[in-house]
Amino acid sequence: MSTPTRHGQNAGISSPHTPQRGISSTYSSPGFRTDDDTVIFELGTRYLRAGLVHDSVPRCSLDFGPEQSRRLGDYRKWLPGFEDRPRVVKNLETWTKDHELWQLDVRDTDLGLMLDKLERTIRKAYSEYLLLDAKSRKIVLVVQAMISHTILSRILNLMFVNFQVSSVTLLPPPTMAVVAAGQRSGLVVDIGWHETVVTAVYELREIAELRSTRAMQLLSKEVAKFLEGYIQSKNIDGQLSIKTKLDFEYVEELMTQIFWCRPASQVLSSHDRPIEAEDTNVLIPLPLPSSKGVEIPFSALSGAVESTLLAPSDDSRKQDDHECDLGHLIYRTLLSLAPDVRSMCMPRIVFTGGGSNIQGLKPRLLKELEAIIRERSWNKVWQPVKRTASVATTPRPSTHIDAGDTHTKENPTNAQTGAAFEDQIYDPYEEKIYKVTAQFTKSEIRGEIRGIETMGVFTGASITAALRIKSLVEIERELFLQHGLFGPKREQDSATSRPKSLTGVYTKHSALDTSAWTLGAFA
Amino acid sequence: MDGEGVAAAPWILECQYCNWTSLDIGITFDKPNNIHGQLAKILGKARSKVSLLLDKLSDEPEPTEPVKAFRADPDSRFATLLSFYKSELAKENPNDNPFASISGANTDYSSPSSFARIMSLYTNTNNYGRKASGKSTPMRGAVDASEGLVLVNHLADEKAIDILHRTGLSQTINTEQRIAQPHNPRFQNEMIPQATLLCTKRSRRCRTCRHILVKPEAKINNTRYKIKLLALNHIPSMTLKPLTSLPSTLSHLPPNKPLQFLLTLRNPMFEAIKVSLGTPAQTPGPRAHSVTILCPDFTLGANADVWDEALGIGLSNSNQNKRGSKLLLKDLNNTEESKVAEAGKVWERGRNWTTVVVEVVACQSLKGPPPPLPRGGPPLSFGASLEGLLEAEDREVTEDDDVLEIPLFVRLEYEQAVTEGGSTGLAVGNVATTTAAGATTSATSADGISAAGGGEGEGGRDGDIGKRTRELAYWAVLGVGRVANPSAKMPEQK
Repeated sequence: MSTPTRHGQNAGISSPHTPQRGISSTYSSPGFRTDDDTVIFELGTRYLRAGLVHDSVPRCSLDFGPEQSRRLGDYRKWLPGFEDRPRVVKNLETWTKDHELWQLDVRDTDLGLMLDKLERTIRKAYSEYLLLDAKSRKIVLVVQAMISHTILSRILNLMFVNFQVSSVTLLPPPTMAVVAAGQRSGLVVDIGWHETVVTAVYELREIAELRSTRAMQLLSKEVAKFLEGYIQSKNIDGQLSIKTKLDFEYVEELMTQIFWCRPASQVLSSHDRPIEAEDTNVLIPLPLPSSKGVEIPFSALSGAVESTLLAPSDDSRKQDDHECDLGHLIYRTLLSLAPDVRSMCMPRIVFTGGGSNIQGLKPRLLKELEAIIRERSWNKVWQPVKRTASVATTPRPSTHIDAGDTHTKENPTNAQTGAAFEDQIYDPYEEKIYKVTAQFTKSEIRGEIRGIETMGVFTGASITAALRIKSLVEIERELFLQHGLFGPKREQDSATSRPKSLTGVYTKHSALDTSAWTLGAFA
Repeated sequence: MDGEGVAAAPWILECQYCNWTSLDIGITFDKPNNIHGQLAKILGKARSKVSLLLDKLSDEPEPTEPVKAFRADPDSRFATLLSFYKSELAKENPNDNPFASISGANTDYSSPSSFARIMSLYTNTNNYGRKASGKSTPMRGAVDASEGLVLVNHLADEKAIDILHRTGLSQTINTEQRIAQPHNPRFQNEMIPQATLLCTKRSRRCRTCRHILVKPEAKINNTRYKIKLLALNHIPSMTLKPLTSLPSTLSHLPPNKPLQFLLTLRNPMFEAIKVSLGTPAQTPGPRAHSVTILCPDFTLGANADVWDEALGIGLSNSNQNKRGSKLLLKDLNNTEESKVAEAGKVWERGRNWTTVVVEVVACQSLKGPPPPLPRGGPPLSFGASLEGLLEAEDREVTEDDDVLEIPLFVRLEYEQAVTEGGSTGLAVGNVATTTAAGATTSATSADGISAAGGGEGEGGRDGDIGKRTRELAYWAVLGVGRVANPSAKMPEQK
């Protein structure tokens, strides 16, 4: 972690300097509404969300499904019997492709088609929901920083050429999720479509990040397999052939509506209202016109979620890095942080992404994390004696969990001796510092596991834009059209060495040199 | 909408189809108009309730109520967060903070007070020294609900699971509803009525030259256009119909049989056009249908004013043509079998239209994957084809695989009188080239023709000033019909 830019500047602020030019709100002409002009887009693989600054929720969420790519004049969607049409059966490996704007592997993506889809969607957002002319407006685009440069460059080109926007500001989603939770630091768990990304944000900078493929796409496949297997085993009225195949829309509908995750309390204690005891069957409609549906016990519906997102594989050494289960993924991200930062991030775990809507998943993940921490403490070297990491098998003492290395009070049970296991030496100065800061501020909680609800990535961007905080990455139309994605001169050093931050833009360098921009975290 | 009595106060929203009323969620309206505004007001009441709760909160912390209200009304939490951030930004060393420009009006650099403040930096040493020693409090995050903090609630999730458990799918909302409700509800009783989307009149510009192509009248009641430059008025319209009456309808084209279609191009412009058509020998897409245009190069006569024709200007010439074509039609009816389509010959020609024959052999089987790269020696052709067949069997069938469509590259060349100023920009924006080859064919559009085509070339610019040769090229799609597929079960035979 490098020195925080903002504080560095505060230290030197007393020297006289030319103030930056702010937009004067009182003296601008009344017709010139700079604030309202900004349009915010949150672009993901599945959905585009759009709205204006000061909108608390997006005005529209538009999907990229195949129904959106019908040709002009193709009204078959409204023909009678469309819902009962024989669905297109697709290979499970590729069946989600039609619903995604891009795949992680760009080689197979038809970029032209992708852009056409995106353009149509954006135009729809403008003309039906925002009711604005796109021309010469500022755009805030919230998009994953890890997006392929090919795609990002095309998207920017689309914005500048086809929609004639004047500038595009890029914002990273994890930071925005933290802003929308009312925090400056936090651990963002984005259970997205392709990947689950766990990002540690400290003082609005992304400082660590881990990814896993255990995400909604994988879950949808697992749900499909589960449902197919179940329906086959029932084989109602012999209607279904041996090779039962379900289509994606059907599976996703069920996945988002009825699938759930057992919260920790139900897993742990058998006396605490076990759901099996009063298990009821849930009637699930089948994608066949004539059948009534199939009954599935409610308790069975949580299995797919748990096995896909939570269950660690039998041996964590055999588990690849990219398929880490979510509990351990969060733990590993926290483990990689410095103790101070970790103690700030632990009580600010923010869940976002489509997966966070699964009922019971958020509390469960928090409990899982507590169990892992209890088991391993914060030792980077850990000998897996026996896999008992799951909440179900670990005992749950109600003691307070320690913040980290700095506050470790108890010795580990095994009689290891070493510097890491020594008691913390009392530091009077640290105590004093905490006392002084506590005078000025409401004390912020450190070092215990706690989850915070965020209002979502879009809202974070809306708040940021409403406060007129400039982003590190702001791309002007003329310059982009002249020079392309990397700007007039590619500032390799500044782009990579500067911390990924919102506030980094206030360094003098970028304030003076307005002709160049940096891609920042997006490089 | 249904009211109690003629002008009685409470109005409710009611769905005639599902018998839902807004009473179910406890919403009534005072007036039958401005529903959206009233809804916003009702939700705003909830918001003021939140602020009341928050005021109370400073005395006695009781965090569940505002959190609940936050959930119901995202605007209230947004406002709380925004004001929290604003206060934090203002707190942090308000005088010299670079953030200060966002926090309030008094930090406007152009205002006299700010100027005084900046000047005081240089003059007032006391102030200077004091500020240097003064510590700025670091910004912090929200710590309670009055600042917009909402914690993950274990109980809420368990309650939601309980509802799921008891009611199953009957209370949940589907994807469509979830997307339409921006505040992300979970169950049906959490949904709120959404305003109908307004219709807009939109003007369109050319993508490349930003020239306005379509501009409607500003008046709401008026459906006319101020500017309406349609591409259809500048490029030939195309129709495709079968030459002989096919044994079955166009939704069941017999595969592996040469079928002949008549492609008619009609010229809307007042200049004669030289047309060249091009098409790939095998159509792209899942099935490779072979297509041949028997006469790809021909000319279209100029369109004439309908009035001129009626008044008899240039009568002799066009009349003869017409008579000729009528005769020809009669001949055609009599001796339909005798007339055979010949390569290189126009089938039929009128004043401003020309018909050529297109021969199509519909293909029934799916295209295999591209042949594998030869490894070492030359691949065995038999083995390769067999492999391809097997692969094709395994391939997924998509919804519109059996649609027969022909991509057609159209190149036009014509002479046009140069007008003053040289503004002869053709309006080729979004062209919907629809070919009606039968009632069942899906309408196809060649979207973005100007982008796909080569654009306009301008030949003969240095030549004579009066006339200029213009060139226009674009791709279009001809929808023919659907190929019959005896092996797969037809959608109609359910």
